[in-house]
Amino acid sequence: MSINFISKTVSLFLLCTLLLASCRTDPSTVSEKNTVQFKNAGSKTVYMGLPTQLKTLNPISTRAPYPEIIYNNTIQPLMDVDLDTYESIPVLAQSKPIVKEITEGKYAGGVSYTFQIKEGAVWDDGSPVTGKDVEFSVKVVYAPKVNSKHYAPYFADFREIKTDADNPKIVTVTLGQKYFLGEEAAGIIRVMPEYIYDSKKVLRDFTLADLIDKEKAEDLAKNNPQLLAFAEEFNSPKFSRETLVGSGPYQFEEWETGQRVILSKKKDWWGDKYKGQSYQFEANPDTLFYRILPDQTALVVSLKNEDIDAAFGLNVQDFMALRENETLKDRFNFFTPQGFNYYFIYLNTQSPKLSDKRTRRALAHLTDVSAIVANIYNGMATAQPSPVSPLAPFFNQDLKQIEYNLEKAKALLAEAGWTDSDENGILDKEIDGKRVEFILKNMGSTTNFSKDLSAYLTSSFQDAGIVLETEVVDFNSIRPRLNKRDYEISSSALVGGPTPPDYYPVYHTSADNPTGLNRSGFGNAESDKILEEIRVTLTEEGRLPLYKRFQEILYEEQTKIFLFSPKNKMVISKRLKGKGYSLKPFIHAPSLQFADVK
Amino acid sequence: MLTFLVKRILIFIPTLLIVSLIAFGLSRLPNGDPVDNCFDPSGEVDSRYNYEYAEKLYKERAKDLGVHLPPFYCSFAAQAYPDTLYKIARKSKRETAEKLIAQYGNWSKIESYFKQLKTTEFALLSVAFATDENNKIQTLRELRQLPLAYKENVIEGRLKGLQESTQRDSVLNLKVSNEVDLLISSFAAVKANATTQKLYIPDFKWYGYDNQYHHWITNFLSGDFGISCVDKRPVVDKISDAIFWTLLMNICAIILGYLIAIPLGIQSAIKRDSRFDKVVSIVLFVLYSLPVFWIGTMTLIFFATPEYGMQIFPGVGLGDSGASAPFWTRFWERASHLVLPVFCLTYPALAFLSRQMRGGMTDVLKKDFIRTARAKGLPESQVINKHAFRNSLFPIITLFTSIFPEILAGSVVLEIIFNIPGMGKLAFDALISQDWNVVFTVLMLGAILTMIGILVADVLYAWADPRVRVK
Repeated sequence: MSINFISKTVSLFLLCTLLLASCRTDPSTVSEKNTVQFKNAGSKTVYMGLPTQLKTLNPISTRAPYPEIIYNNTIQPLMDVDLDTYESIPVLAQSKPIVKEITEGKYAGGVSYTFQIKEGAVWDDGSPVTGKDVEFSVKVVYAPKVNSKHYAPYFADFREIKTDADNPKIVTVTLGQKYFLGEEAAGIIRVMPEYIYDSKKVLRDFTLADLIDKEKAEDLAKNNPQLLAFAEEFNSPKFSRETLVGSGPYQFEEWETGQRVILSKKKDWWGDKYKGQSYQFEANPDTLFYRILPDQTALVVSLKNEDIDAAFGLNVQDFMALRENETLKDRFNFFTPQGFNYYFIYLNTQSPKLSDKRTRRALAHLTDVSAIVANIYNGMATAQPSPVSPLAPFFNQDLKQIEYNLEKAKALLAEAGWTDSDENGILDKEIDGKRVEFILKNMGSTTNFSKDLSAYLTSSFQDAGIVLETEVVDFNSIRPRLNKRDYEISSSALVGGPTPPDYYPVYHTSADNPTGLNRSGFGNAESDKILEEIRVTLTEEGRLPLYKRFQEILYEEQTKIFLFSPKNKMVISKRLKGKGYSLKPFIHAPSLQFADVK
Repeated sequence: MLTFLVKRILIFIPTLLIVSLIAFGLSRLPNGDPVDNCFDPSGEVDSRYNYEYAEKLYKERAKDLGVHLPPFYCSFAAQAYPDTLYKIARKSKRETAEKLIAQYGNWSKIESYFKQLKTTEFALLSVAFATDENNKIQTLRELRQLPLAYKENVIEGRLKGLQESTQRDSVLNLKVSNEVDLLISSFAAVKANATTQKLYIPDFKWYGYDNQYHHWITNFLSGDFGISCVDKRPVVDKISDAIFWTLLMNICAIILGYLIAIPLGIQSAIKRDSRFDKVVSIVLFVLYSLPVFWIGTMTLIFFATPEYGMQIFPGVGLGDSGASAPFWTRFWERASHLVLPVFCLTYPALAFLSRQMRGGMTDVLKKDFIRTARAKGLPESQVINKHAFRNSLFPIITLFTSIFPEILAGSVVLEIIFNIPGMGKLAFDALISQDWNVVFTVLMLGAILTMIGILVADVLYAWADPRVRVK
């Protein structure tokens, strides 16, 4: 290779770059335009930003929040929740199930839910959706060796699932015991076509009772090689990446790893005749194009480029900057509905320093939630004194946010026995015969929020004579240390919702063990009894006073300092008509309509 | 030449083995529980909670992952540590056991203390109605923290608390206090019969071939890289998805880098200390000192969005046309998306490469044979092209060696900024989520490529200077 050749090539390359650079548009021409032109105007495709990597599209083997946003357009559940009213609405089911308490027989004391599948509901090959498909969709969760461990606990109380002998569209789910979320659990069954996912009908030979019993299922697996072959195929990329078939309005076209997922509207979709019944039967765009953009910069650039029409999951700073951006203001609408996730601070009651509830209350008085929301979270959140969102009907309105009050905090600390006996500016107390200084160990994470919060708490606690020592711990170590109760205080966040959840796994004392989620050691006999009672109370009216009392106890005990619930941050192009929601999918792409723009 | 190559390749085998051992050893150090990392247990929050069920699931998952086996063929530790310690499935419990052994050295007593903990828990759980339910809850709470406590004062404090709370309640006193007394005496026995001398006696234990390392390395050598614990996809699939883009970007960047840097270096050497040389040096050093993440973000914001009116290139990603689009459409689309990332990969290397080339060339130009060539009356271009160029390539060849692993490694920062699903991102994500099968494979492939790089460099040296071969 001679140098001449090399220098010629380089010159050519440089020339090309110059030429390319000279093609740029003059900045003045852009700003002089009066009417906004949209890059994708006229296109019947909606481009959505997906702020995460996608791992699978199989609805059974994942509980990650984002794949659901995609596969929900293809695989329908029996029931769902209305995005505005939060009421339960039928999707594949004709109406709400018929609930029957069982008083005799094998499942006495249990409950059964009978669903009828919507008239006209068909799969892509034209065959009707039947109870057999529902049966398959539940059994597959318990089939040995199928990756469904995240899903299994939802249906743990199911004992039997049976299609009506006379009408294949009627299916009954029987629970072995009363459980207040039984109807929700039965409703979230995502109905998958048996003819695609189990073409050999392997699971038909087994009953749910056989499969749900772990030991029995293992025996079955040993004696039935076809059961293992089924599991192997079901877990394989064939059904996690290449196939996604259901009765929903969209069909799967392609998924390119790390880049995009494309769904297209089915021609003559059976559900079109139910249009108007609920948002689940809206399907306006011809194509749903999900761009996978896990990095915030990439997400922002794609918005500015109009490579995406809509995005959610933006961080506070980027969202605020975008909202102020002149070029974006004309092109996008911004939405900030209140979300349901909530932030709080764990207080470990196992630590002798925090075992007195007056001390814990004093710490709450030293935590100025409104200042935290305003200064650390840019005002994009609402203070919340309980795990229940103030938007939810079962929120206890009598509970008020514990106000910042240094004097009250000092008084409570003194009551709890904390004094500065050695006058070194740090409170101390005699615990188990020893003088202990009030130095709290804070386990922080690497997020900016955690760092800011720790800095704030350090200075705020200092005013009362408490020293906060923060140790920043990497993400993978946080959970094991919380589980081992190897911390004193630590901030965290959890997912909430408008429907009353089962607080048992998080607040019952039986979950106060090294694998349980009751990480701050909350609970007494009364709270345990309430949580147990909630589980078997099937009416909302019956549960309401229980929830309210439960929140009161939580408030009194103060094993967590509840902080706030962030607002969701969403952007939707003005070429589309629609809005952002509090609940997942946050932006319901199929119900977006096209505005008349250029 | 052939013996030279064979010798080289033979050295690779022990090197690879050592790399694999180091990788495997390091993977055992990070915090966090390997089983919980792979199967996020918080997924089980929403339904009925059951401690026994959680433990059972944990064991099952440990078995699926293969971490229920001893880690290696053998161990060389103090005699006090039993050879069955690996059988304690949960990492946090195993660590407590290890800490207790480190203090007392008598595993048999510690084991019976652990067993007594379980018996006591069963006894307490079987009490249906206590006089004071709150007291029972508190007792259970104290008891359940004990399996993780290892400091003597903490354990004794909790045992004392346990004793007091059981005695406070008549029902508990009747049904549980017996077990609690046994528990207290079993811990006292741990203390009394401490055999700390065993902590100083080394002991060699053999576990056989059924161990974690053996399974992994034999599978690796037979081409089975395992399954990613994050999405259950075969590691081969994940790597083959990612490697294409990284290879494409890096090969473009390397070719471009060499094509620009070598002539620049040569020209600088010929026109040493001229204005051209100085300007080139300053520009390249300024470029070299600009961080890639900053330049990447800046070029993206200025040249890939309409915000500043300079949108020359498309945004992030690799374009929308799928496999069905015509080849040239796809080609141009991908190419236009790759210009900025390739630029960002290329510019930092320019200064480095051209300086090396300049240095090499300057040295050669001073040599006698160049003077001879000039004296022969050869035209300057021929002197440079034919005589000096080949001889000045040595430093560049040395640098070339490092390219092979680089080709594979990918740039984490650029791949994240430009949303390109390459190897850098794959390896980074795998490390963060402790997806060891992916990490191991990337690491081993990197090691293999480094060695191939060294081999190729050796061959190239031999080509550039036959004296190397003779030695």
